[in-house]
Amino acid sequence: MTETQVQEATQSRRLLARQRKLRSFGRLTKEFRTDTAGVIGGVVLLSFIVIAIATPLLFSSDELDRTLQIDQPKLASPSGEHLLGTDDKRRDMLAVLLWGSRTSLSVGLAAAVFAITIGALIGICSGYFGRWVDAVLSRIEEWFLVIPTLPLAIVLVTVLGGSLRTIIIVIGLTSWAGSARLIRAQTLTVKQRLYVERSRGLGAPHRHIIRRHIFPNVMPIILANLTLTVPVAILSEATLSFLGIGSFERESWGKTLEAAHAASAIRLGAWWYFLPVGILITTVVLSFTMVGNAVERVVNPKLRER
Amino acid sequence: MSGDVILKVSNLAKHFPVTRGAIFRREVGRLRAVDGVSFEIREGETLGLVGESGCGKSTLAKCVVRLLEPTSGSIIFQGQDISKLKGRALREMRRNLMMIFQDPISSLDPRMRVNQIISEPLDIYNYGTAAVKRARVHELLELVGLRSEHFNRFPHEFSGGQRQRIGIARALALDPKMIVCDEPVSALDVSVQAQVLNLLADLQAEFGLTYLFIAHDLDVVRRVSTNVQVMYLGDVVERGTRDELYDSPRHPYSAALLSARPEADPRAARTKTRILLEGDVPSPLDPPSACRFRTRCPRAQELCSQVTPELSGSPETVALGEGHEWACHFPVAQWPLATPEDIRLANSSKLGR
Repeated sequence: MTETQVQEATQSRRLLARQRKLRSFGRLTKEFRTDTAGVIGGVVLLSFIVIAIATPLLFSSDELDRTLQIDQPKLASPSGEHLLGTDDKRRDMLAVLLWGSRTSLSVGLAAAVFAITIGALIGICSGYFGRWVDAVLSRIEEWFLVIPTLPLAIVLVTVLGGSLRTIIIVIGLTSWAGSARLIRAQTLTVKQRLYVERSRGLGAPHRHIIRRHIFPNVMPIILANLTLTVPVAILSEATLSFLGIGSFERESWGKTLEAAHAASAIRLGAWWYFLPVGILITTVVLSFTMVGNAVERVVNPKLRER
Repeated sequence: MSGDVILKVSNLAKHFPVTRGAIFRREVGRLRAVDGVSFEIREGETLGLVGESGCGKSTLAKCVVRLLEPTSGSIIFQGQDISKLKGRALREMRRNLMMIFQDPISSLDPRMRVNQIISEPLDIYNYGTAAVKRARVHELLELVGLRSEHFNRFPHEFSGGQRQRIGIARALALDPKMIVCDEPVSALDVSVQAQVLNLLADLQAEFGLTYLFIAHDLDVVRRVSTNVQVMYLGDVVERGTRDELYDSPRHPYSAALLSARPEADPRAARTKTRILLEGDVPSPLDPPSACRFRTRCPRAQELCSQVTPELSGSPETVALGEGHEWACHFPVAQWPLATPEDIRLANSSKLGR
């Protein structure tokens, strides 16, 4: 073979591989599309994410600065000028909500990724190595499972200081245990498969078996778990912010709720102050859960028959 | 064609402890899966290992390749006791001793492509650069009768026979000296079985491989083996060259197994007599005393429950220098058993149980 022929052969092989990947991706998305709830959740979620990303184009961050809003009405009800009214700091509610969605979504995602990373690491180690490693890690997991999450989070935030990063770390630390359990269980079943035994028979080191066999085979569970952990993380963030121990740096949905509470919005009848936030939180959490359930069904064929 | 002894197993035993209690574990019994087995294989030979389900064939195979830790006994492979090897030495040994599994689909990782599966041993032992490995995989594919365009496919895109070929290619990747085949064809169609068996035979001729070949199909074993060994409840009851064992089985269990073999010719099948064994295989948790087969043996007598029969030949076979040995006090003298009358004669030493 000449140089060019070799190149052509490699190229066509790559092309084939790409086509095959596209096809299998197509199969998965087709499976996903049969799940109505998942599709609705996905569409809602996608629009939320797009709007959150586009927020700086719609509202400048100056809108959040109360010192620049003195000419605006205070606690005004929705009108043409302020679609969702204004808050007690004379800011436009829509701007506050959209800027808040950026924080809530990104903190939720980052915290979920963090939690799943810990969970996957500990779950795989504990399931794969078994024996005393499993015993020790499982006891730690149980400790995190039974301990009341909220008080622990409050203590941690107080000790570590209320920055965005600590919020992410705290949420991650308090919500990894459940997924570690699931991933451990999946690792246990994958470990028993014949191809792992064969790989061991070949003399493969643990690192090789974990990277080449265990991890790819627990990956679907990890993904499904990730989408199911994000809403929990978003709720936790909102809870912490509502309790006034969240980040002081940025606007978030939890903080808006807290502000509404502090301004006695309910007593004043300023429904636009607390209702839209509540609906937003519920919607995002619900759609994440719907997408998560659909992903779980797609990657875990055993659930499909139900 | 037989060369030096490549594998010598002595008194190999694998017991699984049966425990009760979560914190204070205590052993309530021992499952004697393999109990004191000894045998030798010479280079270039195939040793067939037959026996019904649960007699310890697969456990024995896994002990030999050290997927299970033997409870006691020694395994000498290429002059080295491998039963207690660890770490690097164990890895080096494994290069030369590969295994082919029964179920070709569950032994292939569904998330890996064929090239990744076949080059896995190459990766583990740092065979060479990516290009060298790729070339080797193509060579192996061709060797086992697969095509180069199969390179990038997933295992589920193949038929059973092709999957077993992938398993064979993978076992050959590092040029091993010996391959342990654990029921390599029992999950395949009969016509495909023949192809895979031919492939194994061709590879043996080409590379001088040694096989430990496990199967429950007597005809398959007859076709591939140089020597045959019959196992019952964790122990070897009879062994000999293929023809000795198939033409004149001496242990009543081997005789019963051979008589139960399906006959292809319907006319012969009509006149064929079977030795029907009563009952089930006793539990390996609590095997019968002395001869383990005595509870189901039509020829069993008082002696069988008191003295364990040793594997040995008769004066004639020893004088002839044959390796045919059996572990029975009252071996079968006549074979084949043509009529029911013959069976009664064969069982005539039975004086009551």
